[in-house]
Amino acid sequence: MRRHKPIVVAICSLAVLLLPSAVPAGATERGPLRAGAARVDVTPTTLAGLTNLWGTPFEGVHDKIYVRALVLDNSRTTAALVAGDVVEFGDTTAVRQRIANETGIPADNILISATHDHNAPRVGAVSPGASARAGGPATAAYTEFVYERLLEAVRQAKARLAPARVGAGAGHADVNTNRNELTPKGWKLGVNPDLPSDKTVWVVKFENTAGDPIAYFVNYAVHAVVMGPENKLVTGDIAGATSRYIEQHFDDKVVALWTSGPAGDQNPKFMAWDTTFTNKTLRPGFGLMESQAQILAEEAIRTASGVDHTLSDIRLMGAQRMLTCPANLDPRRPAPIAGPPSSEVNIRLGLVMIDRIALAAVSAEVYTNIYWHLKKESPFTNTIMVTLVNDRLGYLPDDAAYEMPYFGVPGPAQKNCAEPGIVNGILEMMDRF
Amino acid sequence: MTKCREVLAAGLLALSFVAAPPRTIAAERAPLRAGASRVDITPTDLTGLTNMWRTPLEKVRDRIYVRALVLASGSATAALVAAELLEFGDTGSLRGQIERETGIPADSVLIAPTHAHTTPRVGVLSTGASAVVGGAGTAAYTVKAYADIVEAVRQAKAGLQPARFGIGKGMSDVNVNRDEYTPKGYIWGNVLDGPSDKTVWVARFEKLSGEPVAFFINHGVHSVVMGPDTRELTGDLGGAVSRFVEEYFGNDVVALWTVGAAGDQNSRYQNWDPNSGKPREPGFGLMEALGRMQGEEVVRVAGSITRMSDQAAVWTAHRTVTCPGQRADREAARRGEPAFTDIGPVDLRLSLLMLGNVAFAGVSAEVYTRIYDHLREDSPFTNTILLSMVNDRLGYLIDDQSYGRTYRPAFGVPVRRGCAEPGIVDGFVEMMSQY
Repeated sequence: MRRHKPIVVAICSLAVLLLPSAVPAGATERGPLRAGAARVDVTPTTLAGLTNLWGTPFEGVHDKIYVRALVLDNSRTTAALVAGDVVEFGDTTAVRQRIANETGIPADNILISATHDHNAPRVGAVSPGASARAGGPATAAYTEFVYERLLEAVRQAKARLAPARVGAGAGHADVNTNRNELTPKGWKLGVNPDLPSDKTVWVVKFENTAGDPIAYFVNYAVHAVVMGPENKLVTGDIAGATSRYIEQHFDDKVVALWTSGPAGDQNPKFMAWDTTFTNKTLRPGFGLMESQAQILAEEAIRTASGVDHTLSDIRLMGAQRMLTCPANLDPRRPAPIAGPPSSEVNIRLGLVMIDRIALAAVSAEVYTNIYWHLKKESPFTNTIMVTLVNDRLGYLPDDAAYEMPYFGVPGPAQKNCAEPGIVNGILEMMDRF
Repeated sequence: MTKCREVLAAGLLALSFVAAPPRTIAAERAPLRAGASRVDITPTDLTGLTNMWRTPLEKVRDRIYVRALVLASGSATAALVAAELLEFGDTGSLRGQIERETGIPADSVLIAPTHAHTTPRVGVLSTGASAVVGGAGTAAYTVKAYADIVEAVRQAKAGLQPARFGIGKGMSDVNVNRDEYTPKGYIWGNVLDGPSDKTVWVARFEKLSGEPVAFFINHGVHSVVMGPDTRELTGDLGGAVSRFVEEYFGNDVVALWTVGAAGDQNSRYQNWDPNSGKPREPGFGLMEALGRMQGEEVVRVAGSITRMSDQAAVWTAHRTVTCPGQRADREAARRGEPAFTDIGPVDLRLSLLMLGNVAFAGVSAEVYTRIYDHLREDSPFTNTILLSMVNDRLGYLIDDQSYGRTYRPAFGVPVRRGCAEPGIVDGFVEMMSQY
């Protein structure tokens, strides 16, 4: 077990404000699982004013982008998992409350995650301390459009609730790579097989009582950035392509939610652009995107078919809490692109327990070592980290990485807060299960 | 997840998995209580007692013990027993004695030998098992050992007090895969790149004041540093680890050492050549050195456990997996004929103790590493600990894909392919789903 020195614990105790939210009484009693899923198109109807993550205006659509929703119910409580083919969501508190008001699903039981494909628009406002391109009126209009569609997706998914079974599996795909590479010009974004990279392809499979799949919840640690800054076409990138491949494999009778794992230090192994020096396009790229997505999708399908143990009577629990860290005022840290400056930053932690499958959510881009630390300490074998959930603060490197000039280091939070705060916060929520 | 082995023939499946219904006691999370004890079980008379290789035991090199840990939470009580013995036969009658004397349900008692080959065996052989039965000396010693074990559980129960526990794991490179292929076939070897689980599991139990009460230790290794020529009674590697940990923390602490997935694991260094049986060196120094290495790792891990809980459910379940049995015919194998003949059904006992989110999974045989890997892959609990030879010792259980290989232990595999591996994995996962 990895430990933190007493001084670290002390700092965190002082600086970290962990606000547990109420867990409804009886939330962890077993009940019959019902699941429903839906996919709704969120491709912008107008591209005017919308850009990719790097600020390049969109001029066309290569492939449609979607929000996908999965609603779960065990007669005692309900939960909703949402994945959107967008760069990121800002603070989702308001939209989760809208969902709660309209559907009765508790706001704390809703995880809204972005696939973080860089060639799609962002949604929502930039939170204090975060670094992101806020966008203008067009982003605001698109945000409202997405929220409406997102609500519609949850509504549809809930309406489709049907008796179901659930099981989890872990596959393996060598599609990602650690991207912190030491070059003759110093540490750059590149390919480094010697640094941490989690190759797990997580699949949580939901099937109906006849054994036909309803939904796949897929999780993998990679930035959806096969396509680069010069691309002008909206695309779901590798994430959207993976979902599409799985859904088409099952004749579009399945909804495949792709979510981002601990991808803070992970890029695709093969990219259409030069990430290291020029940011220039090297090749057309969409074929490369499809190929890597196909590998991920094939592994997800293979893994799901090997899931031996599924349950129809489950415990279901959702919980969220806020981890507040002192903001990093390190002079090495670049000024925020658009986020309002702040002396502290809020990291949202979420947990949805689908029986003993733990979806551990963090509102930021998490380095691999933090996930490995959590996995080591978690009592549950199937502990899946979902990042960019309910907000996106920026990069959260593990504490040891603060000493290195990696990309994203130092993060928006001061050292010795995010790593122990995430691990302890998630474990404490698990204790209530 | 590993898919059920394709080798599962329908007929075999039909024969197997005659499972007892899982216990239906609801798991309640409540304040934990723990008590531990250690009772000397060194034979007072060595007459008629041998080591595993039938060499008479002539004197005592180090004393051997039974160690008991009793856990209670709400209305549930369970006992974990580790004895420095070669093996137990069916522990049904012993567990019945424990239930009568202590009130702890027989189904909630897990009894594990350390499998030290230079200690006596106890009990009678079950169907499918192969071992040196022993004579009157063994029978007499069995009576004494049983009485001592009941006493250990009684003392541990009497010592129940509010406690907290935590789990940790370290790494100990004292074991090694021993199934080595050579041009002359498989020998007992030292296969550094073969399957071998280096995990040392450590569960720490302490009083609410923080003083340690007991440590539960588990590692996948045969306690066979000392070989067939050894005429001195010794707890071998397992005993040396317990002794080191207990001396380190003070002798009021009880350190239960248990065998993990050791079916294919020997100690990395031995005082004898397992192929010829010839001794290489006196050996006790080597045994103590390996014991100390692992003991130090236990101490290190124990000190690193920071998450302690004073609330936990204690829950047990058990089932029997009935498999088509087989017996080796080495003469037939030499003639190139099928090496195994069918025998009647053979029962594998699975015993599960859940302590909070920690799973202690006991199997009544010597389990190969890959079966444990498979179980860990499918178990919903990160901390899933396999205990071999719990409540009986049938022989070796190899993973399905290893059937057909002429490993030395393969002749001691009591069941046909396609039953033990899925039976163990599915059996435990299904019991866990009731928890």
